[in-house]
Amino acid sequence: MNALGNKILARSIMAVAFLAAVLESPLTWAPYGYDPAAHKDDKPGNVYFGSAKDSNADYVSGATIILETKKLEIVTVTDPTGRFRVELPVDVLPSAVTPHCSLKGYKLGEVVTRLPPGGEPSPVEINCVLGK
Amino acid sequence: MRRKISGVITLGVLFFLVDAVALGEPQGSELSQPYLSHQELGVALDADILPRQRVHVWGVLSSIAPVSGGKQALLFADWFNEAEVFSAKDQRIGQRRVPFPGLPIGASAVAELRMSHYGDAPLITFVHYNVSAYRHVRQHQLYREKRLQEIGRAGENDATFPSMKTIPPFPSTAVVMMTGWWPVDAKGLTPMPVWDPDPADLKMGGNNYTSWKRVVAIGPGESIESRQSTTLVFAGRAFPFPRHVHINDLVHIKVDRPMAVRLMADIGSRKAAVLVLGRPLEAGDLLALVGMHIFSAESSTGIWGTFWWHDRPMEGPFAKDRPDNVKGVWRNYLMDTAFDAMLPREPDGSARVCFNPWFEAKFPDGGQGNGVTSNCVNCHSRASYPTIDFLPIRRGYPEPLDDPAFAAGRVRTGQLWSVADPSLADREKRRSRQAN
Repeated sequence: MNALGNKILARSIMAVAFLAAVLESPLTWAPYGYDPAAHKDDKPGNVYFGSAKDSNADYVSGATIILETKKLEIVTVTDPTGRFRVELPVDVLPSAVTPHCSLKGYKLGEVVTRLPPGGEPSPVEINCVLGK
Repeated sequence: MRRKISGVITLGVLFFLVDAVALGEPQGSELSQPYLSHQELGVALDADILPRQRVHVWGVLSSIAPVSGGKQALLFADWFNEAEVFSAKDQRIGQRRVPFPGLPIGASAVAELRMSHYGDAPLITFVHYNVSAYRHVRQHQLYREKRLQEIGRAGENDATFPSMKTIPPFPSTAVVMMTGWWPVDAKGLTPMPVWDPDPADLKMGGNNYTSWKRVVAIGPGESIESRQSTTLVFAGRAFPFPRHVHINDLVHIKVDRPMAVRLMADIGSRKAAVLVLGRPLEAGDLLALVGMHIFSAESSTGIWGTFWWHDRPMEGPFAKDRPDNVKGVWRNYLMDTAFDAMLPREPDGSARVCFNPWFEAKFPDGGQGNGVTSNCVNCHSRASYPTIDFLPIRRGYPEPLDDPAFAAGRVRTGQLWSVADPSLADREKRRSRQAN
């Protein structure tokens, strides 16, 4: 079998296996399932984005980012590139948000917040620096 | 890059298909004889019966979580994972099963149907059905959307809400559990929040475990309070001198590689692990049981018990009435119970509150209070098909005129939200038909 044939065969096996896995999987959920990708209610939100870096300025994945307000707390983690992006309700002003960050094995992170120009509520940049 | 991604997907698929163990014919542990008769349970709602209710629910726990020879036993480990209960195919003799604790909640749901607690702090959670509950779902084909639709058209009217339909009632021996697990690093200290009641918990936004005031340090080493010199960082805060807790003080299981792969394929479980460990689960890590709900179908509304681990398990109202037959590590869990959405009332005269800090405290206030004022019976009495949002938190008896969950023609699903959702197989078939 030539290279193209091998490729087609491999992809076919993958596709069948994937389809089998999906079809075999049940669709069940309870009120406790979680999917950050499934936010939301499609309401507009204020964007908070940023990153976590170590003291060498290298991006750090898996850092916990918490945006705390009196009404709610948004918890997220930095992605494999060390970045995050979340949305908060539009009625939550940046002045009401206290950011925190941390990661196991590091000291408590220091947070630098950059507000958008002109008093706009969004987007807000939050960067976390984690020291050993 | 594409080749790398394909490789990862292939590996994941192979693990999914291959990672299973032949367990023989499905077995399972039944609930032992109830401590109170059904008649007594009915009477119980009319009196100040909370201590008796509590003893009953402690008894349910001891019947499924005994200790033999000083070792913890997880009798529910051979129950059926939610994924098996709602699978398109029956379990058969010799069939390979995904080992305990199985697939986490929502692991295989399609994105548009996943509940979206955007920005919350998840646990690793599973739902387990005992044999009675499993057989009931399978025999009545309650895992099929088509069957639920048939019941909606021509099923029995619900006894409490006659304009609604209902599934056949679960047998009184049916028990369903939801368990929540905390990732623990087997080689070091792992921070774990501990919930202590606080009036500030009544804030509108709910109380993720990341906001709790205190953590303990769980480790495989020395026992409680033997070491007090550590500061742990967790969820953006530093906790100096946390109490040290030996892992043996919690019910726990060891993670092997297939389990790690399986769980880390679920986005919520993955987030939980990264929040706690700063990395995904790996072989050799541990999962510690921190909370669980138990539903027993002994009455029409179900009997609900909820348990959570605490480092001071002998203190406070949730430690009361624990009998001697709750043994060993299980004595480190606190408990609350609800037999009714209203009774017995809280000291301030409001409707009965019963919640688990790990599962419900995070829910926000939608007008009648946040998760720390919720009640199992109220919430689960709303479980019905077609699927409907379980929020906002409501209190007291159902308000059918103001609540779409009780609209005429809907199908009540035996207090179980997991029954209120059809199987993927049915959905796929329907889509296929629509496409053609």
